[in-house]
Amino acid sequence: MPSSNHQKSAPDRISALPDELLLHVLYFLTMQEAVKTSVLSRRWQNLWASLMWLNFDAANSLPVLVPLDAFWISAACDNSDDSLDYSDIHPWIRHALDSKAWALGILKHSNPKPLAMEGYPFPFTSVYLKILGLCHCSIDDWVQCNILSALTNATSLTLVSPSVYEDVVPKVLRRDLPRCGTFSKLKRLHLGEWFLSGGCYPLIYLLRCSPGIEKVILQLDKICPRCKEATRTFGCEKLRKIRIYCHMQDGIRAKIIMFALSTHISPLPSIKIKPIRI
Amino acid sequence: MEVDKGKGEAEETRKVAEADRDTVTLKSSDGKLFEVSKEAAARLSTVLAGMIAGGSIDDNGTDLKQIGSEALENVVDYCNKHANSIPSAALISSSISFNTAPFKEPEEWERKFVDRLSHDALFDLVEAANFLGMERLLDVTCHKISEMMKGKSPDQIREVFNIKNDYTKEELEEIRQELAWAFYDD
Repeated sequence: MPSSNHQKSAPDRISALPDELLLHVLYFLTMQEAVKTSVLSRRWQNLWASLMWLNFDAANSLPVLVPLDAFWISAACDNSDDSLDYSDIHPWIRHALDSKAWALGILKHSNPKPLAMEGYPFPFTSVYLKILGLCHCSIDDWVQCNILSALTNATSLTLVSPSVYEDVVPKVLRRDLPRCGTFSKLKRLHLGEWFLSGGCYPLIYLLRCSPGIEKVILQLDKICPRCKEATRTFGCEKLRKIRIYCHMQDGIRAKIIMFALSTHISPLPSIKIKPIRI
Repeated sequence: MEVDKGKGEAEETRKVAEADRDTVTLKSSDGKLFEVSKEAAARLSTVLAGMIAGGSIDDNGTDLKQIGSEALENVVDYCNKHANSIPSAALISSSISFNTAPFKEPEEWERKFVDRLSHDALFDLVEAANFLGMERLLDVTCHKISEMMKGKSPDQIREVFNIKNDYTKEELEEIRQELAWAFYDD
């Protein structure tokens, strides 16, 4: 053995610690460092796999071979160009989808630019997905993309893209709308600006496809009043709550949405308008 | 229950006096006594908090048979230092930006506090902190241990902690292959 012959008598204090303390130690290591401890001795074999938190360097890690049930990315990035890129994340997303994960999300990354998913067609096609969260991502306009129509088993959808680049996402999503079947399990829907386009067409369309919907959150980050409306009512029996988040000065659009909703949905659920801080 | 009146009163007075004291006395496995601020002990240790609330603190020194005097001295020292420290802005902001993280990195004074400990004293302190349910001290000590592992090869880690490699050569090779992605830069 190459290790410490001169100290053979000294006890191995660390391996005598209970699992939960060793995991506490591993928590402070990067995932790669934690995984490497498997080779120390039998005591350490696969200990890392019990870690509830994996702290990994996306750019330098490859997908683990353990299946993932749920996968959320929440990255703090600096402003440099080489910080986070979708190509770093894609192997993880792919792996999560291959493991039939039921929850997937890219959340809260603080890069000023949205994550560009160019060159990755059909990124979230999985019938196993029940929860999808996509924030601040951009998707190729020309890609035939069936994000929405592939999510027929979803119970919760978050589709928000509050950025200047956001027009691409809505275009892709909107083109995908007519392909959607019924979201029979969808209970919670959280939409960004794009739901307003075409006289609230995406919102109305999604509500019509979601007979089990219980809660709707509408987030208006921009300030710009313009909205047309269409007519034809339908009922959302289980819909209890609608929350609209908008700037204080944006009361006009909120009223237009209220009008659009009231002409379509009957009976009308409780609607609350809440201000967002700038 | 029938109690002698005089004795009952004395008991009562003793209990009141105990409740009024702002320190608690702890007794190590080797019989040494240490005083620690009651407020800090209750805040930093879930076990001591439970004992204080449950009235099972002994005025003549609460027995902590699992903890040696050196480790207990470090525990008490830590509690007293913690009582006098003000959390840094960095700690507060890190808890905001990463507020769902279960564990937190130590502060500068906490790093210094564990840096001066010997190898054995560090592990005695981890075990004492675990026994007393001291989450924050566990963060600090476990973080210190993780730093002793960082940037080291498996061989170097075994050497630092005297870990005996009980794998056969074939087993080791198999594990390395299974986890090849973690070893790609070796």
